[in-house]
Amino acid sequence: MRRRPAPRPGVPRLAALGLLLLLGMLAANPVPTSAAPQTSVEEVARQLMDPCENCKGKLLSSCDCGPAATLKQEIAQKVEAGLTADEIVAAVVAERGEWLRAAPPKSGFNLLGWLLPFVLIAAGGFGIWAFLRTAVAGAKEPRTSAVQSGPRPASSRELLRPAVEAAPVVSATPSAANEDPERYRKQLEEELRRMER
Amino acid sequence: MIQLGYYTTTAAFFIALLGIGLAIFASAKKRNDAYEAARNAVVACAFFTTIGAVAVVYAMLVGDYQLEYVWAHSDRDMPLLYKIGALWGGQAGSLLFWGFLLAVYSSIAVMRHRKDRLELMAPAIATMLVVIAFFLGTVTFASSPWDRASFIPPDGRGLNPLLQHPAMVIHPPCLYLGFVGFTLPFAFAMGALVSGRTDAEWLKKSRVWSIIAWTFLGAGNILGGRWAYVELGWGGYWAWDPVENAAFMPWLAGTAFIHSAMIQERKGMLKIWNMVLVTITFLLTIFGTFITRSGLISSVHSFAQSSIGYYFAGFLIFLMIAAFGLILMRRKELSSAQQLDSFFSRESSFLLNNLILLGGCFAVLWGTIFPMISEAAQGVRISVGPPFFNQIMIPIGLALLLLMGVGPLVPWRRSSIAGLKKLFSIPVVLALIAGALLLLLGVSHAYALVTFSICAFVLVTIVTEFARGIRARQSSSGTGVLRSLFDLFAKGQRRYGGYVIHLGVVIIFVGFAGAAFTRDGEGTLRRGESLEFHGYTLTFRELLQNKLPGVDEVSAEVMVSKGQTPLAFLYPQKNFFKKSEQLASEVAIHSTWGYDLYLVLGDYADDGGSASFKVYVNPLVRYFWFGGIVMVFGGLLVLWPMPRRGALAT
Repeated sequence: MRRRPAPRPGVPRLAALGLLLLLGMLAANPVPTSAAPQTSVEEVARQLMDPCENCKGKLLSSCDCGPAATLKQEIAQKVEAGLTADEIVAAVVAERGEWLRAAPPKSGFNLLGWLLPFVLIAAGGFGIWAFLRTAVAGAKEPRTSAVQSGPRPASSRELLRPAVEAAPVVSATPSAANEDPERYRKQLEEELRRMER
Repeated sequence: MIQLGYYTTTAAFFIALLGIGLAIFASAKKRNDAYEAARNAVVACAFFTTIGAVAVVYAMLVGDYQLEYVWAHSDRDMPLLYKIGALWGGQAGSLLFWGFLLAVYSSIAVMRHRKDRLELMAPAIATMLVVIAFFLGTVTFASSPWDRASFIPPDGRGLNPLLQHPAMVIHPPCLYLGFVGFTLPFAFAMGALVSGRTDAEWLKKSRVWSIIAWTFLGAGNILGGRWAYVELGWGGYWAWDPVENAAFMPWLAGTAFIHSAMIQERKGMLKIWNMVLVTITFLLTIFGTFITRSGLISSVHSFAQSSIGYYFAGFLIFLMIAAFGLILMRRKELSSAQQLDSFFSRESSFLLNNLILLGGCFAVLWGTIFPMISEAAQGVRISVGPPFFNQIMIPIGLALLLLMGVGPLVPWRRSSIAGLKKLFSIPVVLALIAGALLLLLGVSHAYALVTFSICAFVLVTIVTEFARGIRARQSSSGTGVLRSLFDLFAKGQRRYGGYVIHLGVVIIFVGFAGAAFTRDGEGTLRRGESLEFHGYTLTFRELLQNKLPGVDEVSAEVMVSKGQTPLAFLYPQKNFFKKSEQLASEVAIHSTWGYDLYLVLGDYADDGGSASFKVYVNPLVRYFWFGGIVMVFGGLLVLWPMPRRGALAT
């Protein structure tokens, strides 16, 4: 019999290392809304919402309406005055309201907004780990102990029995059973076989 | 005909109420006659609601502008398709449309399952009818498309200009079919809970309906993106708008349910979890409508707002209490033996997939409602826009993408570290090579690089799975590659159709990654002047004016060239709709597989001497649309009726 060559142990490690490096690069880079080399006005406009009530929920950078154009002009003046993007955003927000900021600041109560999804995913991950531990341990337990510690798992035939007995089966009604018990028995057997398949 | 529509829809509402009573009676007393009558009630609802929906369309077509709804959403000059589409262009019509689709969907389901047992089906029918009755009730009593004005206007106001786009004729029906479709799995789940038949029977009944709903919802989301891209003129297709989020959340939860259902079908585990998932998915469809209608959260997509949102809130609360109450009542029957052979198994990867999908779903929900929470807690109005969602959802999306490659390779039941190493070596190495090559080619954006690498990894796993399957078929039956591929789909329709869906998602992610390289800028040009933009020359040639009935079109002719080579003439437009007195942009796009050159006309001089433009270079956008098509095609493959095994064997 021909044996498959064993995978070289170095390759998976190398692969894992490479993947880690890629993820490290990812973590080291903040998420930009665009990688393009931006003009300062565009850079600021991507951090602000459109002030126009009619252009609901749009970013300032993606709107050409009158109020958006006016705000962009104001930003351009501030850019020319030598303010940084953060300073301009802070100034605009101070003048016009916190709602113009496209994303809540990562501080105070708003930190909850940023962190909660990840906290819940981490908690869910822990829950899955705990579940898997229980489930894997449950599978390793010898069958006899399972019988001793709880009721024996019923077969599908047993599970079906009460329901079949209690319910008038649509395709074979009790009256049909009275009329032709043999046919009813055969049909019941057939249905049980189908369910167990 | 039009009045008939009102009467039949009202009759359908009362028939739905009667049907609920009959279904409950049938369930409680195990009466077949009542069960049959309840089933007929669903079919009657579908019939009468169809007449109602047809009546509104008929009113649009004949121009009965005394009907306020027809006046507000159509006019004489609108093309036929938009007149039909106007049925769902406003609140009352869209609610009727929803009720109509739901009634028709439900009647098909009850007819398909007419030979099934009463115990599960009767409460399932009651559930379907409760939802139908709610929608028909809102149409009958709260938001009627049959309200008449005291006079007859000569013409209508016309459909919202933004909605006058071919995608809007298909996009809302697709979304509604998705929303409506998830009612059926939910109904079967409620049937199982009420009857106590908590085995996998309800899941088997739900399977096809879940996949239909999921496919339509996915198609609806993609089409919505297409509409936003070509109609809203901001250069992108997804802005994490609340209405987009509302359609995206049930899709995420539905995806989790479809995966998780497989574990219950195979192992009999996760019974409670599947009940919870299907309930969440359905509730999210109602929640989405609540968001759209209530006006609580502002959106560029919500064209129909009123106090009706509060009816939806009440209905949502009722459904939550009823569904979770039933789950709690049946928790003992739903508890199942928790047995898994190994930490490393397909089952575990599905659990992780569920975690990430639901985590993503929660993140989207949280971001959507956080402005309200923050305002309530701090008294300060804040916005949660694309920068928030991008930062939260990109890592989640990448984790999901990675799992999509891992899951199919891990065997069911158990695997070992050594086995996993063997399975993953080649895909991981190839993905790293792809990443390294891209790095060498100058792709230095970290997220894009990681996305492309993971896409390569998943692609390799999918191709490997197909190659393995084809090889196995060839060696067992000696057939050719194409025949083996066909047999693979015929025998493992769900599995291989699923891989095609995964392939579509990979292609979509390639499109997402392209967004990292978007360039945009703006400029004002005199006639004959040119603008240099990232290697392209845009020359403004002239302004063209076109007066049509109902709309004044102004378009700019712009020649796009690269170096000395002319590439295309683009005609971005600004259209003024006279009746509604609204201005709408029509963007012009030069699209290739590499990039989209996307041009929006801004202000212009009336004499045509100058015009301002907003220009975007959007790389790889076409992959997003193409991936969407592949994904929907995969869904159709899963649903397509294939020859049975016996037929194949012969």
